[in-house]
Amino acid sequence: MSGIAIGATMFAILLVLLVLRVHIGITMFIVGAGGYLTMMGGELPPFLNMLKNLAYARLSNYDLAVIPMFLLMGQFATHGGLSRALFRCVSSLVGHWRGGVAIASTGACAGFGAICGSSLATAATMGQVALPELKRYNYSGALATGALAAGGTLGILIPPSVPLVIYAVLTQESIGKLFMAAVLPGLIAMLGYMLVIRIIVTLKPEAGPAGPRVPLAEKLRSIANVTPVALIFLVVIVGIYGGWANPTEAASIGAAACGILAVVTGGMRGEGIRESVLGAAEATAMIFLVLLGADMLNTGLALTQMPVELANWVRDSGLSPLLVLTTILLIYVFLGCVMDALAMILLTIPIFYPMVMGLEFWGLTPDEKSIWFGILVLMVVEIGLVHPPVGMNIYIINKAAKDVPLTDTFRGVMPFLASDLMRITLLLFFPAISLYLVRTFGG
Amino acid sequence: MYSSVASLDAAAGLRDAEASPRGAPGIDADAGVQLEPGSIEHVAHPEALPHGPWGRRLYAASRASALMGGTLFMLLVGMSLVSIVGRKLFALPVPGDFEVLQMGAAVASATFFSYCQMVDGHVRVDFFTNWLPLRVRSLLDGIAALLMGTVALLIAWRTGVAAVASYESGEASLMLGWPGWVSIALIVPAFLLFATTSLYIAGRRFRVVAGGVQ
Amino acid sequence: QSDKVVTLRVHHFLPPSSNTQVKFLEPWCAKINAESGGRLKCQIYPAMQMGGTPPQLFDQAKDGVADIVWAVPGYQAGRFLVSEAFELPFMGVSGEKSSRALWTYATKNATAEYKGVRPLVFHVISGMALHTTTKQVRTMADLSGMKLRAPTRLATRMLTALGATPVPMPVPMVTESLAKGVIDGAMIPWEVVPAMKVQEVVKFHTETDPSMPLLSTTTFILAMNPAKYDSLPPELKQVIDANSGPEVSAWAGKIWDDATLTGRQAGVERKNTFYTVPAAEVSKWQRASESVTADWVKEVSAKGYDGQKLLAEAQALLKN
Ligand code: NA
Ligand code: NA
Repeated sequence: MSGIAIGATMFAILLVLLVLRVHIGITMFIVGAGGYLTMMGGELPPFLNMLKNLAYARLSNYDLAVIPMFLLMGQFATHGGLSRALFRCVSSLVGHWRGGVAIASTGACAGFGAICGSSLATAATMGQVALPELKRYNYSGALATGALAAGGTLGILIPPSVPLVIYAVLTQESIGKLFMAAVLPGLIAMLGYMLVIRIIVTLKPEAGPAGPRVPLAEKLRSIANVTPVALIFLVVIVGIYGGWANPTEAASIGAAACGILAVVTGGMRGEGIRESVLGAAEATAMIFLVLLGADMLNTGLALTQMPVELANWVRDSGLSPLLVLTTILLIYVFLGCVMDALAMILLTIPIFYPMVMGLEFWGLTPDEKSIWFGILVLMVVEIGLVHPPVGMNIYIINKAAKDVPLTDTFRGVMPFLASDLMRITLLLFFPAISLYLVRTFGG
Repeated sequence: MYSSVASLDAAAGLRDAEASPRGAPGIDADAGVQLEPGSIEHVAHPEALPHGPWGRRLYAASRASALMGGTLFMLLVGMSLVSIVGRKLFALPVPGDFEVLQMGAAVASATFFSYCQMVDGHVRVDFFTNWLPLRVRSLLDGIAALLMGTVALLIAWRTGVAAVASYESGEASLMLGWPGWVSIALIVPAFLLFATTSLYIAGRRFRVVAGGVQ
Repeated sequence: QSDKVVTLRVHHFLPPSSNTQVKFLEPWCAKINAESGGRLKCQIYPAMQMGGTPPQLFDQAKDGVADIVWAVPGYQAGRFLVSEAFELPFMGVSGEKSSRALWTYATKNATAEYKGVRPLVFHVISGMALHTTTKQVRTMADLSGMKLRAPTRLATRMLTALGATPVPMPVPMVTESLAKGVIDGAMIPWEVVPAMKVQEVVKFHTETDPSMPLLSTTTFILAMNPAKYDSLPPELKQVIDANSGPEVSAWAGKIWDDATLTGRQAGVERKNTFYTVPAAEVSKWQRASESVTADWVKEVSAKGYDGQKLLAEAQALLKN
């Protein structure tokens, strides 16, 4: 059997195990181990010896330590009421516009995303805060839940972003550069969602009535309340990119700052701290188990030489690079129907990354290409969170809204999905949007 | 007892947030398919309380293990802060902060696996099988938990062997000269606990299969 | 049976485009392939594709995870104390000579450390220089307080002894750290300068007088799994034997001597400022680093070796 055939068999078995409810990390591990043993001619000792270092090598990876730290940071922010302060702030500024409360929710999601690495946490937290307000001002269920489900994805589109850390670790790319590259596309995403809300309320004014105007003094107070959040974001991002802290250190600063802020201004106490730790612990374990499985899978796949052979085949096939890339992005959209963002990245990057790196795009240098592809991947896996049938953000927001039919929420996110697709197309044809900040600030 | 097992069955059944050990925020049960890192809400499938005497003990042990790991992480956060401040203001970094973080993070992260297992936080795809009868799903879930336990045991065993090899080779960390085997050995108990919780969960699922509770 | 093709899995941690793969492993593999009449074949896995981390490569050869590895023993600090002699400050001469001497020294004195693998090649990477961003290093006083990336455990100690603040970090992080001012400079071999584009972020290169011993070196091993070797028929064993040993080690050392020239050219083309520390000043550095050597002797002696004798032997071999 050729390497490609063995690799393909591995993927077939992988899909079967996934469908049979085996956990994603364990599935990857088993299939990787099977491939490894096959390639080693069924000899057990090399496998057992390779396994000796698998867990410790992965868990002691310096860069990966940022993940629990960013998760802890988001947990502290949630338990310390930072989400509420953010919503109040944006709402006091734009709430009196038509559709303003929904626009404020999107802005607050972006603000929360700037200190939280996860999309679901952003959706859930902001949902709790913003949904009651949206209801109070008689926003339509579809607009309210659609805007929040889409807004939640700003949690990963705006750095810090767990999927980008995973991408960075897999491809040896710099976390700092990827975060920097994600800033403009993340802001474009936010503006896109806000624009969608404006268009909806222009077409259907009753969907998003204006809220009350807020006196200047209160505006200023609410801005003052979120200044620490802005400072934390700046310290983390500028710290990483400016080079005076590495990502792990910057994440430490962020976690400590959010923790202190939550205790001082949010009244977080022992129970809140324990809940934060347990929440971060659980999410970390979930991510790291998939990572352990992915390590085993990738080792097995490397032995089959399938990724290299596929990449060579694509490079020599004469297919247009844009066609290849578009196909890859479409595959992500389809995978997003059944898989979560992290598993998709771990499963596919070892195959797709060498392929993309072997092709020419707009004369980008290898490093630029790798950053740009990372942002594109982030954008497409994010879509999986808000499209049927299993877009997790949709369910979270819909559940939190209690009285909105699920079909309304699905209908509600469609315009936002359209803006996602337009943004991805934009980023595909104009890599400079992703690379502008990275190029401007050296690297 | 059986009714609570059934009512809180892992994947697609009802999940009573009130009865969950953590009082996790309730979310749509059928949404347990797409779990994204970092979510506080993806605690979608908490195991039922009461767990029975063994279940309660295991839950308490895994929770204590995660809290210890979390405390260690917060200490590492503190060390990073001291290191940055020292380096920036006094040109005095904490010596070997890099390697202490690596060792500490490895030990701390390992403590989280069993807790995640007890609250059923490890991610899987149940989209294709939610239509199956409970007993069939429980059988599949029991097998999945057995596989997870086997992998955890395998890793615990091999990592233990690695710790012994590291001890014998006398390798030490670059800056501080700390022996390398200690932190490797410390992740072994965490994986043993992980294996135990997996086997326990497998047992629970198989009881549903045998008991035929609907 | 006897004319079956044997595929050797060769594992290393650098990219496929690295000198290691292109100039060393691929030619070596081509040679054993030709000399075995095509019966020995390599499958090279770069960039840790077979799993694990660079410090674990050595054990992968020992355990048969890979058949042949190219590894840095020094990544496991404290494990390969005896052969570390060649990483002492101002020990090395040219890569070619040092590598030949290292082979002889290690196969005689460090057999306990390398038990469990079959060493094929020992070599050092020469051409270590200081590459700095903010100021040119001319004297020891210039080094005072400078944050410099150190390549090895002993180089860390040497930089401390010279008054600098050593920052150990993996090579891939060096360029960004230099660009961002996290470090003021790096002690790295010329060979990796163009690969990491270091010449674009530094302004100054400081070398030491070529008549003096090398500032510092890093030792490497090409090691084979002994069971794999034993499984080969005698005529293939002979091919492996013919492509290992002191002369092949010297050949490997020469590869990096040549790569030094190419790497240096990158700095020249960038019009960076070069400075060669004169012999008299180098002697001062050498004296200041003597404590590092003395500490090493103590450390090795504590493990039951005659540290002083080992040092003398290494020095004698390097004089040849
Ligand atoms: Na974020
Ligand atoms: Na989806």
